[in-house]
Amino acid sequence: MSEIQRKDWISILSKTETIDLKNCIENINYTKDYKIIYGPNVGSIMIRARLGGNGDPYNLGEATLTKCVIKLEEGTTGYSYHLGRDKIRAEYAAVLDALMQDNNYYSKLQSMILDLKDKINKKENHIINESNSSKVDFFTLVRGDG
Amino acid sequence: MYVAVKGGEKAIKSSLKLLEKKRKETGTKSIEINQIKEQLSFAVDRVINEGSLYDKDLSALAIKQSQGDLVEAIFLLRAYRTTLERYAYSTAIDTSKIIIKRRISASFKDIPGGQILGPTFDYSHRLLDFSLMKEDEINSYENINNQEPKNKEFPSVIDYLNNENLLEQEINNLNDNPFDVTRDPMKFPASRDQWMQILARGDEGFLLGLSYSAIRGFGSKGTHPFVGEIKYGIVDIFISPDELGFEICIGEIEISECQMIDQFAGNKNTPPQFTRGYGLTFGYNERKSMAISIVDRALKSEGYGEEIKFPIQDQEFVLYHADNVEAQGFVTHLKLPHYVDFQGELNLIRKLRNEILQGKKL
Repeated sequence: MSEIQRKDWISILSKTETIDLKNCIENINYTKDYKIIYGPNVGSIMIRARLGGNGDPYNLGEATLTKCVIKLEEGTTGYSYHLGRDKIRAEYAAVLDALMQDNNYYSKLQSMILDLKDKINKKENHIINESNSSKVDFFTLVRGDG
Repeated sequence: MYVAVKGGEKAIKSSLKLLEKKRKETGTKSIEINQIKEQLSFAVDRVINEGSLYDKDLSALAIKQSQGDLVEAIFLLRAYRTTLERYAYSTAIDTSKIIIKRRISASFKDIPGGQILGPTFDYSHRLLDFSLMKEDEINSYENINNQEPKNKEFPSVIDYLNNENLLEQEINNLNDNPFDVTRDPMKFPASRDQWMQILARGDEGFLLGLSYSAIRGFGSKGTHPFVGEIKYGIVDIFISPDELGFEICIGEIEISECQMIDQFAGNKNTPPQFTRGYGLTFGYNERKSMAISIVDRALKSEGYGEEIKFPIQDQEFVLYHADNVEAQGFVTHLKLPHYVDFQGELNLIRKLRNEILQGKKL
């Protein structure tokens, strides 16, 4: 089974639905208390883009963002930043981020997180395949002698 | 000048009640937010852009609350936005890493990855579909194909022209503190980062009209621009929180991008080449991203040493009037009580008329 870097599991958690996050925590029977250090609170993020697609950055517009920080009894701190306003989801993700940093829990969660990654990939594949079904070959009709 | 008035509390209360009643005149079923999000998705996407806040749930709520008055919905979203603490600025979106839903080029026929029509009204017949009048239930599409696709890469089409140096290059000044209209006052001459933000939240109708004026002859060159590439799809959003010290993905959003190619005759320093106009919007907003790209190119006129003679090239004209929250505020304030001002005008007109009619001025 491939190792998961923290950066990667945070990314996976950010694209996972609330129910799946909840299931992960339930599946490893984590019932201890954790302390909420911050939030979950809804704020905003300014999304930036690039002039012309690849030039200097500019401010495109904002998006809602939910932030949560928790601390496990064991002392590990977990963070989550999620687009949108789902506070429950942000809290679960922060808990999972903390659990994944703990070697004990990591070994239990690893395969579940990889499954979530697989689920995200499949969803993306589905969108691309669907798009590809409308791929078109335009052909040009030449006028006159040309 | 507007002079404040007092009173009318009871009437206002009653007026608000009537407004709410208008929404439920005959007691039809309440529309669910998810229904608006899915079945009126273009309206939702317009509101997130002009409301300048990517949150489709809140956009749908605003549309419901405003009873479909999109400018009012945009106003609601803008007002909500001001209550939010800003946590972060994202890393600039990389639009080349996109999960594609639509991608076309009107300039090049054969492009790597192909032309993908995606969901579009373009080839529909524009005939009313009367079956929707009595559509009972919507069955979701179940046909899932999640096999690994042959191709996931959609390289930027206009890079072709770049290879031959036929296309103007984007300048990278490494400005990592771009203008922010929500924090900084407008300034002129405006820089491109300033106008791109204002255009992104600008009124679609206004920008569409302006871009139309340019291609009909009231624009920098009066020529026909070409769509280098239009893309619609999903991109990841990244931030680098201080407490983590590395970059993380925080979710994904939909965007529409337009690369417009336009002529430039060249000058002393530059041989003739193609110039670019760029448009980017939240969600599926192709028409607006195209309009922005044409306005962007026109606003660049001054930089090319082109003569500024049309409204679309005039920074102050475009940027001061593109915002529909401001525009509707100023236009519709005229309906508020102006009794004192008008009294003054009345007296003045009476006085002038009297003077003339009594022959004093003749």
